[in-house]
Amino acid sequence: MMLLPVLAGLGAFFIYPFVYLIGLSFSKSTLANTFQKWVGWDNFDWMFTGTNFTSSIATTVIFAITVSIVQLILGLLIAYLLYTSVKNGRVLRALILLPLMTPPVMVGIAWKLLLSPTGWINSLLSQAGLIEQPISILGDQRFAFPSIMLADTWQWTPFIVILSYAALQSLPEDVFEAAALDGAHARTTFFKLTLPMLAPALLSILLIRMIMAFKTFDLVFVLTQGGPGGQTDVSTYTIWRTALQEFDLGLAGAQTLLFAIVISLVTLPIVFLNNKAEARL
Amino acid sequence: MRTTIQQPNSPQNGETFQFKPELLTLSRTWKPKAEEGRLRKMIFVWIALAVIVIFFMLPIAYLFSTSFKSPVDVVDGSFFPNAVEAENWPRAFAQVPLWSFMRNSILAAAFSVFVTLGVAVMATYAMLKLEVGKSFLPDMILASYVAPPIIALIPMFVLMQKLGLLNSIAGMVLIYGLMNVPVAFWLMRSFVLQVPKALDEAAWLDGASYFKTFFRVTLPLLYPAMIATGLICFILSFNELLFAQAMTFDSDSRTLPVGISLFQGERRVNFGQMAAASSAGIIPVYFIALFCQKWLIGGLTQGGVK
Amino acid sequence: MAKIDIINVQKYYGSYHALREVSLSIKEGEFMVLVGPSGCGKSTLLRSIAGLEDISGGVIAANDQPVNDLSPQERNIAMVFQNYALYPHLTVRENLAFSLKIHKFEKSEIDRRIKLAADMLGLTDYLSRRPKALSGGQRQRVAMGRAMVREPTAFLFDEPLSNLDARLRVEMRTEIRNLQRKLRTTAVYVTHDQVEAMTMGDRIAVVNKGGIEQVGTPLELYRDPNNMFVAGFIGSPPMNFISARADGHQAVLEDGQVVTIPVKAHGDISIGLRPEHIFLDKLEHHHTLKCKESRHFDLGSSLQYFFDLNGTEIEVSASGDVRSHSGVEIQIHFDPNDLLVFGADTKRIR
Repeated sequence: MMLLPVLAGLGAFFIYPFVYLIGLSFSKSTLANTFQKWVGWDNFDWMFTGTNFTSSIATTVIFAITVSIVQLILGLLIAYLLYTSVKNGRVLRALILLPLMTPPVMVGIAWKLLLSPTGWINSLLSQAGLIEQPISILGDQRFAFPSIMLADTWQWTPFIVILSYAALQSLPEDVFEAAALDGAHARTTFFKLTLPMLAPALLSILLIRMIMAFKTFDLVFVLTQGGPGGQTDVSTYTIWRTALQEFDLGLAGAQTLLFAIVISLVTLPIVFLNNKAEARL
Repeated sequence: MRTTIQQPNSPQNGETFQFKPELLTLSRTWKPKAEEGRLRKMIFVWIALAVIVIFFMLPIAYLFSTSFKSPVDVVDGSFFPNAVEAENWPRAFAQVPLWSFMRNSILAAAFSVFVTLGVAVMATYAMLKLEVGKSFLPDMILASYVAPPIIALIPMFVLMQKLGLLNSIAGMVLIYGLMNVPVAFWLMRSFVLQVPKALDEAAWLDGASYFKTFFRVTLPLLYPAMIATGLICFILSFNELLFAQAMTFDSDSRTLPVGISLFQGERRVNFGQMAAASSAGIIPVYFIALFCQKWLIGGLTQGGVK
Repeated sequence: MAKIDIINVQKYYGSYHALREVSLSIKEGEFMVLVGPSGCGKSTLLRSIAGLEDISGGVIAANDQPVNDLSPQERNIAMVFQNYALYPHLTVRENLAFSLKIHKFEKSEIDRRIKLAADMLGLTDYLSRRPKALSGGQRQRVAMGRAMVREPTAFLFDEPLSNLDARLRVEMRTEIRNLQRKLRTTAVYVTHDQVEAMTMGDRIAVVNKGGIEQVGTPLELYRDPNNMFVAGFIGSPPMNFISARADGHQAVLEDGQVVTIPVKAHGDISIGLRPEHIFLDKLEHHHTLKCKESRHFDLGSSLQYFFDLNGTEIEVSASGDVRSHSGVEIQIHFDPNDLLVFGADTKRIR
């Protein structure tokens, strides 16, 4: 009885969508007119041969893995600095919480302003003599994708900082006292003691971040709309465009299924392994 | 490599080894003995902290600063406006129905929190404490969290259309309320597990039914967790774009992220006004972030790290 | 108040056999202690009586009525938990009133019972405090009060004193026992501490590996244990066991020394001898064994010796001055009637 609502929720948000999507992907459907006729594997054929969806998936995977690892390292270093060198980090942690809380659309707009040809970054670069003409960073094949990653890193590194800081706080003090009495150097302590003890927590944090990074949509929507030349076409954005701009629900269904399968293949094994490891602790 | 503890008979310095209580605090901060080293370290720490703070404040600061720039200043590329132009703010509010967007966002987010907590708290308790559904249901919830929300977008769109809830705040309340259940489950999990099983058992032996035990014993102990979870879910809903922009079509139901993303997408948009509108949209969440910092950090860390 | 009968109770956790055909009768008003090493199943048995664990087989009956199918809510049993399990968000008064309110007692009756319990337990001044603001001993009293006010069929105690410091533990033993005597409520008390068991129980059931080894009064278990487990578990310091080969009343130790045993036995045996029954001065009728001292501790009030006998360590409690030193050969003396003899199957030979 206590579970009825959650079952309904799971049904509405997980099981029903899956069944519905499988249906869609084998049909010719538009947003206005669903299930016009069954078309077998046509949508899948078209997805692999007629669209760039596989490259979009590759983009998403590269994005998720890169940002989650970069942010983990950055976030851990910042957390370690705060933990070891700042006595009362309340103000700092409050400040660092802000990017995390900012609506991603606003994050996108802020970075768009910073990176625009008339923005501060461009004027900084030209003052430093690195460029002669203002460049369109977000419109440049070389810089667009890293820019999305930069904005994402700005928003999400604080998440890692807060979680790793808590993980650091939960480490047993006496081990470090023992190490200090043994004469361990700070660097030795970090690599031989802190890091191995943090490893399980860090793995969890990495996973959570990676799962979220797979879902990225807002930043691309605001900053680049998938461009230039499909450089930043992450899957959620591609599917959204197929469904709500091109109205081809059948193809969108097929794309979503493929995307879901890829994400599951990448994350689920680690998720469950991690869960089991956690349960054993 | 230097060691922190001088060897008892080290010939370089005549001092003998003495136990110093300060050594015990070395665990957290390794303090080199030399005054010079300490100074160097402090300078390094200050520079590092300054870089960190500047990096994380930069875009926000730039956004606010741009909101006070005249159209001429905007293309100038300088960080601060040459002359403060407050006009952008009232103009932004006149151009875009920001108040409606904000009202919609707050309503959708606030009511969705009640849906989420109503569903998640009891279910989390039943699954973890009464072990209903064994590990299957928790695994399902985990899997549904891993699945990207785009999966649900099209089917939910069609469902909402059939229910007549498209383009309505009620529809967004329902969507967000259910969408955040896995997050809430994940956040509540460790809080629920922290309530000792013996408390439930004591209540059962005292004659309390399973429902009464939940409402009179467990629930009161979970209030702090629910506040933290509720705040996080509120912010998630408040910030959400994908579903809102697919399912709301006018200013009676559009949320802030949708409204502002559309505003910034217009061709001849004034950067200063765009920045002003965005800044205005950020203020409610920053308000929460600053005043409920303790709850937010507590909620995030309890859920994230066991 | 009730008698409780446990008949052939079985409990499996998956393939793990936690309770093996356990049978035990607890008389009305009796204080029964379940004692055994950790993981022996004593807590499982207690929780089965409470209804917190489902049993896989057998019958649990209160006053000859089977209660197997009753939920914990319906059994009218009160339990004192190891960590007290006080409701942290309720005051002491609300904690005590919780179950009475659920059972919709009159307010005047609730107040009467709370006052009675608070007076008895010395909690009157703390009624409006939260558990967090109480000391360990006070929390313990609240937990007992919560059990008391309900006037239940039985009290169950699950290692309730294990979180208290040594001095308070001794104090609370007496307090719990006196309270139970006054109320005459049947009580089942689980502990791993045999001293607690000996000082508190009307009777003791020694539990081991999911089964009951022996039930009896403290003295019966001390004087007349059925097997080596009970003999070794009850008594402090624990009983010494010396292995030997017996032929009738004669037993030959590994080094050839001969001991007369009070019962006839054949083959491999273990001879049990309590530390407090070994003397360093010879009295009449005493037998003597030679061994070597390995170490001793002077505890002030007494001396604790450890002697080596064919590689087995023999503990002896003695008083007076230190007699020997490590490595010195020494004679120990005992009354052969104090010897207990156990067969190769660890069962007592009588």
